[in-house]
Amino acid sequence: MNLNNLPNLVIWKSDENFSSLEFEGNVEQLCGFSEDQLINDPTLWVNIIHPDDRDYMLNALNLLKEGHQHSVDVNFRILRRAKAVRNILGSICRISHNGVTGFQGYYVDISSRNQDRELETHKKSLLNLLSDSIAKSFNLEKNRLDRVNEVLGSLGKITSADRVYIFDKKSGDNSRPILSQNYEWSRDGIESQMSNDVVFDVDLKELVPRWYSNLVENKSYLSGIVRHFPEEEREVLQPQDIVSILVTPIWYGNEFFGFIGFDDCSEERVWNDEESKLLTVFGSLMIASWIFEDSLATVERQLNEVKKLQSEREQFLKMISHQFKTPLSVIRLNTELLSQFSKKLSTGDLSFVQKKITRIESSIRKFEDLIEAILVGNSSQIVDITPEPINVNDWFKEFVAQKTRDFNEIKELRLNQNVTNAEKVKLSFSLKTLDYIMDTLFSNAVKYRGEKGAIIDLKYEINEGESLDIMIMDHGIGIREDELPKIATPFYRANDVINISGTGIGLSMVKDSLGAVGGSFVIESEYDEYTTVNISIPIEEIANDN
Amino acid sequence: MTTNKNGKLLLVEDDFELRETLEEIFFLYDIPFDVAKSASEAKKQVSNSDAPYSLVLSDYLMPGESGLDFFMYLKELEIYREIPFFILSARTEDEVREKCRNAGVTDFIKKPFEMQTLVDLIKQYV
Repeated sequence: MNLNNLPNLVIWKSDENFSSLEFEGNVEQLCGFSEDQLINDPTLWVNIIHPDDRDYMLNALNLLKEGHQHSVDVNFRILRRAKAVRNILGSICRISHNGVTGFQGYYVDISSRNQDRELETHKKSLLNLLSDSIAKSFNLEKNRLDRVNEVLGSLGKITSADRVYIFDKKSGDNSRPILSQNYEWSRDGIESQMSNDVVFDVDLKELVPRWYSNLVENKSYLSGIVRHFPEEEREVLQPQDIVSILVTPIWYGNEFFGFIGFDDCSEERVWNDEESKLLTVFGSLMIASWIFEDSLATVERQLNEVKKLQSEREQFLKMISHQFKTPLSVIRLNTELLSQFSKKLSTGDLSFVQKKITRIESSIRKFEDLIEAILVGNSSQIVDITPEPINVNDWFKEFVAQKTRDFNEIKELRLNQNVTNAEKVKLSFSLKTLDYIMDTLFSNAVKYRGEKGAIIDLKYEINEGESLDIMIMDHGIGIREDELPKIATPFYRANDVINISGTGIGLSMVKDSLGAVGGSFVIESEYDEYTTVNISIPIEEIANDN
Repeated sequence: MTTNKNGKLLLVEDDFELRETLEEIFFLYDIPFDVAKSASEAKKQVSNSDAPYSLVLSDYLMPGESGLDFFMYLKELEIYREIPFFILSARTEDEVREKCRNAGVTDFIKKPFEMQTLVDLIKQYV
């Protein structure tokens, strides 16, 4: 075996005083001195051992000399010329041959293994930093400048760069981007370039065409030692004391955003490919945070605009509705005047005119209801969350009696309840709100009765003292499956009911009112069969007083 | 005090049709009255009148000064301090009502209203 093919391994043999040395392997590569130099100077081998490790080595040899051990494993450092430290692992044993005693051993240079370990550590910390920086980039509670500066600082520390900065696109497109340096971190003692004119309004293609080609056309990073760069680049970089540089492009989708630059102002450093690629990915992630932030701001702005528009529309509707009331008063009063005057008419004419007047009056009432509906369109006006006590049975008894009086259309109204007689509960909103909700649901049940006539089931119960649960079920026209989810949205009206008067506000108001007190609203329906509305109103208190 | 009043109602209403209709009703029920189309016109009526009006019915929202502004003006006049002042209004939101109540307006008449209700109310004062 030719040991010269194993550049890190040397086998050696010596007498007890190291005056006769023999080597196999490339000793010069291992320790920086030739075989001849080592043989001619018996003290040289001691001198190249790292001063801190010399005692350790002498102890190892003493162990062998005194016969305590036959062999020892050693791990020590040697200092080559130019102070380069090498880590050596080896083994030494005591030999005795033809009456001559001495030592024999082998040494392996394991420095590169340590380098790998260091590189691993570096990679790990780089990854840690990157994940930490991404988290920082997305911490939108801080403003962008602070966030970016913090992240650039971290990048600078982990990469040991002297400056880290971002050039972002000010104008132009991918074919002619104009960039400016808007963010920069620089190490203490390194001059910032933020006031240098050269970093602003950079026409990348014009100023450094090679960079444009790398960063934009190839979507790739660019790095190197400035001394080797083309003259026109050196003219820009060297006045900024840049010795070596890495620039990583920032892309978002198909849009070139700019680049992140890493300057080294003292060392001719070579950036490795892996690191450069990682930093390239990082740049795009950071930009993603900006875009995310901008999108959020846009959405918020648009939402506010919509809210404003909606509120303006509500105000307008309200204003118009109020304006309706004056002409409505005129119609109503004049109808009353007509009605009074008509009493002077002959019997035949009187009945004709009275019929017309009755028709006008009922239309006025409908009109007034519509205006009221518009005016209560804003739920905050109808939901009065002042808790009010009611005697549930009394209330429903009165409700049923009143509805039976009001609606001639009712064919059958079945009441089913399971509440002890004197039970009094305090609902989490006012009676006015309960009236509103029940009126709306009941009049819907009547309104959408269909040809079969209004058959309505009404059921209520107190659910474990927690809520008053009410069910109103009609056996009317029902709601189509695809329209059911939309039925309680404001101003929505199902397609089948365009010929039935209504505003589309009722159910949405009911839902909002219940939502305001933590109640629930569930609507179920089978088209052409039935519609059931189940509501649950939280109870504040329950009291049984007789 | 009542003996000093002129026994008339002052109607302040900017809407032509409503004003005409109310005038007809007042005629029909023999209610003596004067009319004004705005608060500023009403102020003139007040200063031209020898004795204070017995009752004022005023719209709330009118071009120029509101019914409430007119009320505040009257309140400053010694002879109108106790005047029954009703506001005819379509605006029945709590805040408007509250503002008028706090100022000392007698009551609200909510539009649209019934003829008989209005007449009964007026008859108490005129």
